[in-house]
Amino acid sequence: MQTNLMVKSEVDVLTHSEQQKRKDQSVLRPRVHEKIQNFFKNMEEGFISPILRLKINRSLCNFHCEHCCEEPYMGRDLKKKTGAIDPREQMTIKDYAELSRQADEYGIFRFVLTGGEALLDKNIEDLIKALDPMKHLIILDTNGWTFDEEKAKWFAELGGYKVQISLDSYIEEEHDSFRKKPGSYKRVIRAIKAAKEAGLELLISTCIVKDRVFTKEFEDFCNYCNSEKVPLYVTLVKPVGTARGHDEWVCTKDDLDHLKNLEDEYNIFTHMTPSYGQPGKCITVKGINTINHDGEIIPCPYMDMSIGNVVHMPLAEILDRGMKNKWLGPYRDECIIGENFDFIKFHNDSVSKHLETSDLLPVPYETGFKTQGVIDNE
Amino acid sequence: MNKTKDIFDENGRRIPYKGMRVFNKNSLQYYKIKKPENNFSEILSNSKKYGGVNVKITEDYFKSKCLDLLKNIGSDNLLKGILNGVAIPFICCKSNNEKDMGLEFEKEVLPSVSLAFTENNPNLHFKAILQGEKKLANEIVISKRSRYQEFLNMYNSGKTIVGWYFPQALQEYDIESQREQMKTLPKQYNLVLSGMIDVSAALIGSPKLLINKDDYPPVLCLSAIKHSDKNLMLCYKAYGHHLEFWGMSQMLVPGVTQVSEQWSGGLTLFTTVDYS
Repeated sequence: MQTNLMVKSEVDVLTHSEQQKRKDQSVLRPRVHEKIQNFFKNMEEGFISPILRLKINRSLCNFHCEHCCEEPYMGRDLKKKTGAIDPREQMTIKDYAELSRQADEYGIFRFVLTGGEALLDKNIEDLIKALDPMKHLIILDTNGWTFDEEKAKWFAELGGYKVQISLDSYIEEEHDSFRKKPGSYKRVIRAIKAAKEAGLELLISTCIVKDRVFTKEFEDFCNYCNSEKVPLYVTLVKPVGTARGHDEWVCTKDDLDHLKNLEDEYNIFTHMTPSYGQPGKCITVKGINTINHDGEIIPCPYMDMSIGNVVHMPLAEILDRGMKNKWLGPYRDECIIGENFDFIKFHNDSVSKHLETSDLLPVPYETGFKTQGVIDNE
Repeated sequence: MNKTKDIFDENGRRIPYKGMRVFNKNSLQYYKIKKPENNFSEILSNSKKYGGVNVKITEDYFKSKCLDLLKNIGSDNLLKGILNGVAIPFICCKSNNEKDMGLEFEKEVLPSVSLAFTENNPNLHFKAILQGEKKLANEIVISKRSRYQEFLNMYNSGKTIVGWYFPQALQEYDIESQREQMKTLPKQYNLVLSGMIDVSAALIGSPKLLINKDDYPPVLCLSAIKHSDKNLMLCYKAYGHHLEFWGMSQMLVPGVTQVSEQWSGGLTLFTTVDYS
């Protein structure tokens, strides 16, 4: 039997807009373009180029969202628990500049600025300059509250690349209630408009709880994103942070399978959607790493365990040992912190044990990942 | 090796011996294929419709040949444990004159898998993607240790092949160990490391094989064949309920191949039938 099946190479599977963006980078940011090309050339050899997601300013936030995984990292949470402020030193602008240098040398080309709410950091402009928007794509993660026309223009002029705006329901009341911030929905819509007008790349991110993907609201949301020509980045609520203990929120394989079907119909994706010519998979270490304000690198935005501190150890060594951890490096389809109960138990047990002696997350490498899953040298 | 000792565990997975690179010595079986009912009628019907199998072959004949194979291997104390695992009957025959394996795979086999999958699962997709700017034509060879040549000799002679695919026999083994362990298997059976033709035939006959609502299925490695780019491994995998063929990197980090809990090499038991 013959069909018109095409065996596609990774370049073929890039969408037209992805190809166009790549061409644009060759003019706008030649170094970024060079790194992307090198990544494509070398990834079969085992080279990685993960996003580095920077949680800045002690994760300060002006929202109190129901599902927030970040709350335990926030100064306000620590103060509530202990009465004290976070005693750890934050990364300085000089530290971030050094991180940028190491990332560039490694072939990394994407930084996400997040918090909390990244825009609350009064040093954010210096930080963006230190990271160097000509060498890296700078992506801003925001709840949209202060991201108006002026802020969008400011970010674009600084060399910012993309804005990622959170919208947790297409129904205004639901979003505002979930975010515990009346008026938030309207500000998000304003932020979307502002980002477009400033010529920034844009995506909307939304967090899903169990069964939301089957609702009319979610279908309407997908249609809205299609009509606005804005990609929808879907994150899954995890049993961490303020969601710890809310197992009823955690998505099942059924939710994820449905999402994967919707990807064929809408411009939506998760962190596990095939991208950059690679199959869909868990992207711990290889696809994304979060860097806490004190330099601890966490191999997934939803984990509370570190693989090393970049202020004290070279980035390349930390990523290498992360890749050589059995849980984090090898290929697997499922989201281990969201779906793999063996890993969730290891993770949560490690976190609980750590919290018996410290109020500060993440769990350091030595008492966490080093105790399980280190691949022997062969 | 003690010939009376079973070399497969209670799940039909080869018990790893010293030198094998495996994710877990005792498999946790996190990645699962639901034990299929093996509807011989449906498998045969799909294989005729999409795989070019001779329409004269009857269900009874196909089934009896398959069961004979199982009976034979089930009487071997060393190998009978393989029957504890998932086993997928298949039937196939070469229906083209293509000599290059890669070209045949691209132009004949994959399109048949695609059609069988999408016609049986109308809302799902089948995709075939190679990492890097790679191709299949003139780039595929057989791993000598796999014994797959024996299978291909029969296949290329135009004979119809009936057999069983054991997709989880080498689950959690790295690609090289899947090939290496073949040297310790007895030779009196037509038991080979699984490759592109047999696994594809199994998917043509049983297009819902990797659809599992409750658990993630393993990645089905086609380790009997090799791409000229040694970094690539070839496989079928599910994406949600969709089915995909990938040529993907097997490198963990530069210089080190990976041992994945999800990757699964298969073993294929086969015979030929007189229906050319």
